[in-house]
Amino acid sequence: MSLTLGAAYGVGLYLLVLIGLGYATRRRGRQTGLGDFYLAGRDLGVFVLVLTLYATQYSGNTLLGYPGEAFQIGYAWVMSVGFMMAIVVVYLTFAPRLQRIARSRAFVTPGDWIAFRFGSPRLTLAANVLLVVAIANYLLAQLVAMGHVTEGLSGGAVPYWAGVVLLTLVIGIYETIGGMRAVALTDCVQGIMLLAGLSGLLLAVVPTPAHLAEVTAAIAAEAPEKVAVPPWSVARNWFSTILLIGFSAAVYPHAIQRIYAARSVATLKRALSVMVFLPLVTTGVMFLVGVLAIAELPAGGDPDQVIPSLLTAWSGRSLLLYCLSVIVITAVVAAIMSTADSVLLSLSSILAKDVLGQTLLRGASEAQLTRVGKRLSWLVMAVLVVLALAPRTTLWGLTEIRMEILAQVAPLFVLGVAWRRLTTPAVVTGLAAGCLTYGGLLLAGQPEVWNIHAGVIALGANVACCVALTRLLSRAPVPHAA
Amino acid sequence: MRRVIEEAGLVEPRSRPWIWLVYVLLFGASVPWYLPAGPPVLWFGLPHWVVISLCASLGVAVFTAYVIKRYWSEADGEPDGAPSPPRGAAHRDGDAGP
Repeated sequence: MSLTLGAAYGVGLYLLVLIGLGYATRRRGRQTGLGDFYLAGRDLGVFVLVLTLYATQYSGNTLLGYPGEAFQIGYAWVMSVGFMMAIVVVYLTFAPRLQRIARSRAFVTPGDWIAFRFGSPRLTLAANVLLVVAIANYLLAQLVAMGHVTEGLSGGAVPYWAGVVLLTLVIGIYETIGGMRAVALTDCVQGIMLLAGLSGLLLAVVPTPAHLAEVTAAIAAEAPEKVAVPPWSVARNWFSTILLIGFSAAVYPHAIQRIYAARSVATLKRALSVMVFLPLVTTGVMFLVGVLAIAELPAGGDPDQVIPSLLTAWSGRSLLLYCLSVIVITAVVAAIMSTADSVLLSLSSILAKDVLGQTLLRGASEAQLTRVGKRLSWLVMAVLVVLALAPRTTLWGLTEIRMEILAQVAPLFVLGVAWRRLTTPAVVTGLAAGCLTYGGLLLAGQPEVWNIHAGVIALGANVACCVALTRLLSRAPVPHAA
Repeated sequence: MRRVIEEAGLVEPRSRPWIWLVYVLLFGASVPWYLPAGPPVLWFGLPHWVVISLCASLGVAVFTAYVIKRYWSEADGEPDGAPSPPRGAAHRDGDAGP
């Protein structure tokens, strides 16, 4: 049996399981209230929380984009382990207090915190617009990955567009049926598939020290810059990436909503204690696979096709490698879909509750908003599928754009929680300064300055405004409140 | 502020500056800016700077697990120990800015 046929059986079976799980969750909970539909009744336990955070955080970018980056830049891509850990470290600055406040005030979206903390509808709307733009971009990246993986692994038999449409349709079905419960439950299956796939990859590449030494020597002979100690310019970019990913991925709306959805403080603590180790076995493995691909594949190929090409090559070598390849293919699909469903759910909750619920549908009941949210999910999917059919950049390119936008919202959570004196005018000015700086640098053709991402420089301007204005305003005489 | 938090039984990592200093050191060690340029020595088949970076990252993970266990209180309620006020009263306890 060809790898294409085996993978089709594996993925087909997996998709049926997902729809079945979605249907099963329909019987649990009323699914009519916002907290019930979008946060699974705020009752996620440790096991489900870890796997849903894991499956959501690690996506098609991790399994397809990251090996491609290692293939392109070499060993310096070991930075992916550190920057994924930085996300959990940034959580420590705000998650403990945010979770307590979110539970006591029944927050559903990230905008609920911003509205509560800063009391400014305009600021909440501006932050929501940035969040929506950023995560819509993220969802787009997942749809592009769906197309790449189906086209690449089927050797072109399943066209790019068919992969995008079919997988998006399945996500839409189980998400509309079961909301966050369906997403979290399918994330568990997807997280387990992801771990199985990574184990499969490790077994397939068998990275013994002797084998690694041979590969390193071969790469050093062909491309010494991919093995040598990185120059100062790469180190600067490495630090910048740690800051960028750490601050921006920590404020992913779907990740914030999982903080809200944790059953208790103890649940969240245990989940994050496990999460911080997972980059070692996830991005660490993908880094290794990407490096090994340098020695196996011809230079200059499409970085997003590294994994599909490797699996096709490995599957012909033995029955064991064939089976492992089928597992990895299913895991790749699982990783993409688990992120896409979470982002889609988050996107529909923001649009329904924070945008329509505050404007056209002001005063609507939770049941009405939930129904509108389900319909919005399908509308968003339709628009993004059309955009995904003509991708214009690599997966990592899409990642960087959304991260730099998200980073501008990070001070609203990190500083907003940690610094009680932080004022709303300072935050509004900081957000505007950050967005203008980022937009200005991009328009000037400077996505990086001195190897530091424009988004990080903009974040610096954003934070500087927050701090300077808060200190300045706190020194000014306070007029009597009415 | 830290005293108030601790009296309420609510310890948080953000209130301990030394924790963030350790993170700066660990992340600083994970980026090989301090190593001289040139061909690498191989450790376990990998360039030595890659192994150093992975060890520093493992240090970040172990330290984070310790910080979560030791410095993140599981007590319920808000840092000022006040019961949950109604939404409109958010500013009274200093949570909100304006």
